[in-house]
Amino acid sequence: MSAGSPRRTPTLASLGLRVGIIAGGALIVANAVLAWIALGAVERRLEPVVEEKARVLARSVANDLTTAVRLNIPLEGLRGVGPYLEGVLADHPETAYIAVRDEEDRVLYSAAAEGHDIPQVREAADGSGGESGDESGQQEAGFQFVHALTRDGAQVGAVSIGVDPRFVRDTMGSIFADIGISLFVAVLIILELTLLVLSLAVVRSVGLMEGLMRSVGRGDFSVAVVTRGRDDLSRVLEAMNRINAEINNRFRAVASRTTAPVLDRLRQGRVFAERGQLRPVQDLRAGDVQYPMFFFIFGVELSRSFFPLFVRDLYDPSLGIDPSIAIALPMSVWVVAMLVTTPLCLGAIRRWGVRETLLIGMAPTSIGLIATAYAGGFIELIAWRCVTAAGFGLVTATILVRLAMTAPARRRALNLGVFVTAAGGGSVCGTAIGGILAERLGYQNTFLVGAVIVFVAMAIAVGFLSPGEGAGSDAETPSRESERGSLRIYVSPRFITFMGLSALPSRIVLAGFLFFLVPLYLDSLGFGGAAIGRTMMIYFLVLLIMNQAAALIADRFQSHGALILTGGVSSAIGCVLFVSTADVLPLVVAIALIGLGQSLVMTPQVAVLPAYFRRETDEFGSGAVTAAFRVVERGGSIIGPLVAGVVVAATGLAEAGRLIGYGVLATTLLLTVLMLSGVLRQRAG
Amino acid sequence: MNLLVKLNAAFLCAFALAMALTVLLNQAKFGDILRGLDDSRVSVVTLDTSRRLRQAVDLGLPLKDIAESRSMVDSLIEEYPELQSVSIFDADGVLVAHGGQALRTGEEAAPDDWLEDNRAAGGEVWRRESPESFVVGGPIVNNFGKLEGGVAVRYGKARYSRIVSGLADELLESALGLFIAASALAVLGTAAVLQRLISTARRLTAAVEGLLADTMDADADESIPSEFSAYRESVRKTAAALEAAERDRT
Repeated sequence: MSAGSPRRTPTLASLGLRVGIIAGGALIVANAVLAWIALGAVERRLEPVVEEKARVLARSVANDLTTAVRLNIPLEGLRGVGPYLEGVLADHPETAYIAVRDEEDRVLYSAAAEGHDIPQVREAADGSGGESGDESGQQEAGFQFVHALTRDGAQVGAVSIGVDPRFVRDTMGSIFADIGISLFVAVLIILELTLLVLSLAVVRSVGLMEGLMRSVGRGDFSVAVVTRGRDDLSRVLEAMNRINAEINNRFRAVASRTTAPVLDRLRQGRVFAERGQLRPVQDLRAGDVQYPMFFFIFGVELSRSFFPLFVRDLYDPSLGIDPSIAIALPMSVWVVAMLVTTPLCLGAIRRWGVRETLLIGMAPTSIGLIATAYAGGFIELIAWRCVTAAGFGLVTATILVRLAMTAPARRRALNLGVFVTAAGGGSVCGTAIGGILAERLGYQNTFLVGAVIVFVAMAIAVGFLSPGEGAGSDAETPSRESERGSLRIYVSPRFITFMGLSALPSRIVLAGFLFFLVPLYLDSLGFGGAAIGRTMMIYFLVLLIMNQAAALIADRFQSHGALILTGGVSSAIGCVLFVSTADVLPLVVAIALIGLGQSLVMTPQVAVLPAYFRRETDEFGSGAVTAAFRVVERGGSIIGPLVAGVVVAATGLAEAGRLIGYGVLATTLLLTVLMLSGVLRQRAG
Repeated sequence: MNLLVKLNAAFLCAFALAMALTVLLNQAKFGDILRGLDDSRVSVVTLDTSRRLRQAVDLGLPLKDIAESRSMVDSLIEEYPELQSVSIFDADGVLVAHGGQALRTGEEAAPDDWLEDNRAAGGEVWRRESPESFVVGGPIVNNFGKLEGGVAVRYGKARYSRIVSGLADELLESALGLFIAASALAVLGTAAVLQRLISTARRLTAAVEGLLADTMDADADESIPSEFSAYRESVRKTAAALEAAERDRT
């Protein structure tokens, strides 16, 4: 609604931002308070449990010393007590210190955790003495329990154990990362939902309203808008539809009884729906598919962080395949199944329309996810992954076609950004939340949650897209002849060299290293599902942020080649660093480097095709060259996990990761040489 | 459906999901810590008992002849009332001493799965879970590395479940209160942000509805979009032209 007044109607972005801040802020504050309440409640409940444990431990240590005491061996003469206490301390992390004292309270042996001192017993323990000579009490530095060592009824010493007051807080602290991640995802979802509702209920309605006002303002009363729902803006549209209907009714009433000259005067500068049918005002937006896409990817990607571990659990040695290759197989089969259904999308759109094709694709995906959850064996799993991937391929291809349909050529890149943003956002949320859910609810239930989210995506698609939209359209499919002709691209040595040195390695890093090797390696380091999800999420986060930035840099400085090389080096360093460490920070940095590398490579790789392969582009067309590139890319996604699986089978996880890293570095260096020598160079034109 | 209802219904779903996840994560983590502490505490008791029996076994006494076994079991049951049972069994699974609740297998033998775990434990503590209880066991291995038997301590899940569900109830109560507060804030906040848009839409509806009846005057209303003037003029002129044509005919 543009305004001619000083007070401008807010835009979607400003409305979305304000509403998003309010809702996101309310959620963050509420969750922070809840986490704080939870911490207090947990501490209160664990306190007596920790104290009871300290009591048992003190008695156990005292029992071990009692034999010596009974044999009249002086406490101060015992050997090996210090290391023994160190061992006890190491086995019981809630313990701050353990001390053995003589009858005069002098510390004879002790072990203390870092940051803890041994206090003076009598000063500290103000609690109750027990029948057995036990004594306990609260002190500033936490709870302390003292167990007396007696000989013939007389106290000869004591064992005192202090409880670390930070134990509960520190242990609970590890879930704050998970809570933070779930909050981050919830806020992302809230922003998506805000934009979804505003887009559906405000932007679309305002766009239609403006279109209708302009048409009527020009004298065109033959138009009407299709309204959905009964919100405030829909009511305006319905009122405007009623006006047009009324004007047309009056016109038809006059037309049936008046003369031609009068009618001609009425028609001057005006258009009526003379045949009675009002023409609908169209408002197709790229954003219409963004929200179903976000939730669809969210649902499917829930299993991203644990899928190799899930396959490992179903591995059947009787099949005679190496476990590593068996784990990789469903991932490769996934891409093959996608490739089979992707070309079917154009025919399906022509026949049934975009919305129906999306629903046809989403249905097997959700069924496949449910069936995967209950898969009883390896072969069954592969079959259900094929069903899931078949739907996935159809949905993603249909969304890309819909984006192309709704955008003029100059805005194609912008529309593609809608795809990248939705897919990236869905992947970030799915990978992070999937890990948490897998750890808490198990793999099976997480697949089921994924299926439910895909159902949500189906409901949104039904709400956002019109039935039969795009049906009967003349979306182009390549002829057999042109397909045969374009096959000759694959015999171009320069094209194949570029693919082999850039496109293939980057897909092997993605499918073979990130999706296959990373979960297995992190699992081998003892990372739980949530931690694996958090770590992998970094990749998608960096990709989401850097993808657009890389595209902008490449376009502004025309430095596609340099970005491809930098990306290759970054990915290679990331791979090598990742398998060379067990610490969280370097692992996260390594994943970020891989994400950075992939984002630097992805867009420029496509952008350089017409410049590097000018002859091929002239001969076959830019579409054919890009299609050939995509085929090689998909090929990389198929062989990526298998290559990684074979190398892991031969060398182990860490060595395989290193080899992939060095391999990518070698191909990047070779590519650099070819670029510098002019074999591959950007040709003007 | 009203725009505010649409928007806030979506928010409330997201709020409920995020808060449920926070409660679930806290409850699960608390359960893990509690179980770990309980397990560790019972492990200390179990290992102490198996160590004391080992001292006798190392002296060459067969496990079944250690008179102290019975009193050890009884004192543990007395000292730790939360323990369901304490069992000492020989390498063949025959119960040497048992105190507390009876085992399902009767008083004579330890369950087979205990024996399996006891053999596989390699001198370390082993753990097992049944529908009603947690079991912590420790093998008794003599000086020459021969497995002489084992100690198994059962403790009930009821106490664990009671404490965990107590926490869940407390968190759910707090979450409900916070959910209501956050929801109220979101509803009021979005109402304030969208108030102008909604009131403009309502005025516009009234203006459009009044057009043919010629009962509205939107000139003074600055929030009505500029396109509306041309729209209104066009509708009015057309309506007037149609009316004139109708009059001419009559």
